[in-house]
Amino acid sequence: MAGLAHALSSIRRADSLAGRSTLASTIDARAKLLASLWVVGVLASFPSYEVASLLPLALFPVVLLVTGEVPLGWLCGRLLLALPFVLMVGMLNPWLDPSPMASPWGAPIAAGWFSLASILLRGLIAVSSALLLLATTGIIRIGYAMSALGLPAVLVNQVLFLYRYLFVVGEELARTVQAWQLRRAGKPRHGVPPHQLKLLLAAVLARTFQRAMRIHQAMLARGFDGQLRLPSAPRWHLRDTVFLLFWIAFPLLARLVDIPLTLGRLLTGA
Amino acid sequence: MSHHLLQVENLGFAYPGQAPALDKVSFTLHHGEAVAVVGGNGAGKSTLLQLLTGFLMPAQGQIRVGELRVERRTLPQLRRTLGFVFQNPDDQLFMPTVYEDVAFGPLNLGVSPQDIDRVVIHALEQVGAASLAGRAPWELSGGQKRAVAIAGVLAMQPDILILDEPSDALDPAARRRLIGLLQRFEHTKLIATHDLDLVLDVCSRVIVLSQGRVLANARPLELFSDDALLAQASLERPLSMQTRGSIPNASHLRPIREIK
Ligand SMILES: Nc1ncnc2c1ncn2[C@@H]1O[C@H](COP(=O)(O)OP(=O)(O)OP(=O)(O)O)[C@@H](O)[C@H]1O
Ligand SMILES: [Mg+2]
Repeated sequence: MAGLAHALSSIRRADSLAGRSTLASTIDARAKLLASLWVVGVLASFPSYEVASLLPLALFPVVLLVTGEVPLGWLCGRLLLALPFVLMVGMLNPWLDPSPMASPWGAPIAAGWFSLASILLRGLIAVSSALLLLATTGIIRIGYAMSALGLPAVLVNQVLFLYRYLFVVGEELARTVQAWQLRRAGKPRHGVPPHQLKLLLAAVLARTFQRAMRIHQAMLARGFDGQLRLPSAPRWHLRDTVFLLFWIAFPLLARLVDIPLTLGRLLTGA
Repeated sequence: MSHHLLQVENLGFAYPGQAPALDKVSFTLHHGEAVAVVGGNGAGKSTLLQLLTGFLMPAQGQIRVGELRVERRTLPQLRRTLGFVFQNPDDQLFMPTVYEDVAFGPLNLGVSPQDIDRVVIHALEQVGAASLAGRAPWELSGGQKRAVAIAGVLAMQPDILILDEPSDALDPAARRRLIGLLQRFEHTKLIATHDLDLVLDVCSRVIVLSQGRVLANARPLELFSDDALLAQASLERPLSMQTRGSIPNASHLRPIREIK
């Protein structure tokens, strides 16, 4: 369970990373949010067997990673966490979709393998874009950008609270399980027996609920009226326009023109 | 304006399906006073604070802050007057940096962005935490978190500072600093605590709760010499007022490095 606590605190580190001043963190949160959504949207619009032509879109997370000076280790660790979920979506495709399709190395293989690879690649690009958006912007500024873009405050607060409560649930879960493990008094059993699991989860839920209440009360006590305010309202600069325009145009280009193929043809003169 | 800043009259409250948590509680708080609320576990301290801050609504009686009654309608106004420091700073700290967290309250109260820097820095300086401004709250130590939580409330410039167990989970040095801090504030203070030594150092009056009733309302020194009353409220004399068994003769104690 220390594992869960650790996983959560390392996600939380994204907010600390976002606090540093880097090239990526100076870009307006609205520009980054819109660009990320656009990239993910375009990614989703590719036909389901495309693999190589998706690759140019990986440029977006790479640029955020580099200009945001985000440690690669941090990103890879978080990606590993997301990988099982992405795999789950496409795992059965090679069996569900066995119709043969020509592979780059000649021999035809099941089309499902292509869609699995495609899902994996899309998943990794989308998840790393989201993680890097978080690590270069921070959840509060993302929330602020959402409301600045006209999303209703209720919705934005849902996102902020969900994010905050994610850690509350995690902390309470880790604490409860730790207490349970200590009281198990060295019995060499792995896992929690079912009847105790129920009690354990009930305890976690009750405590999470109480803490969530107190967090909400603490915000009300400090005059929170549903609208998020920041000490310095972000200003839109020319560089934000350039950033946004580029990241609207580039994914479109990648969608309309198979960039790897075209490049390859250009280079080999075919 | 009345000379009673906070007036609690005949207050009663019960959680659903339970014996009353508070019963006929009355007391007043004057300008500039520092008053402690003490009592054993389950005496009703936290419930009382929740009622004062309007998170619970009384079943009987009433609470007045200045000329305002504590009611749903007056809550937004009351939040400016009452600064509530939560028992667990982790429940209170919300924003990604200490600076933004301290700015959270005053911005909600309408302090303009031009003035916010001055307000935040002043509040952080008051608790000696100005150097923490850029840090993430969840990475701080317990004592630092507490200091920042208090700064977040001070920045709203409340008339009354209400603290729930402020010395809870602090090491002796952090606790000492907190006591120094509380002594320096000129705010009217209401402090719920088990730390009777803190009461002795900070407060001029003590309200003793026991099973939801006010058992005593007196000066700390008078109260803490009344052993019968203390026992009735599941309390003990503060450590500084307890007499110990004689300390063993120092010559029996050898320096640690000699003991092998
Ligand atoms: N949310 C709740 N629901 C039901 N009963 C509660 C709730 N909170 C407190 N009580 C009960 O109300 C009574 C007063 O509790 P309260 O939390 O006010 O005590 P306290 O003086 O703050 O105690 P402590 O020193 O342990 O913090 C107790 O009997 C408690 O069991
Ligand atoms: Mg309490």
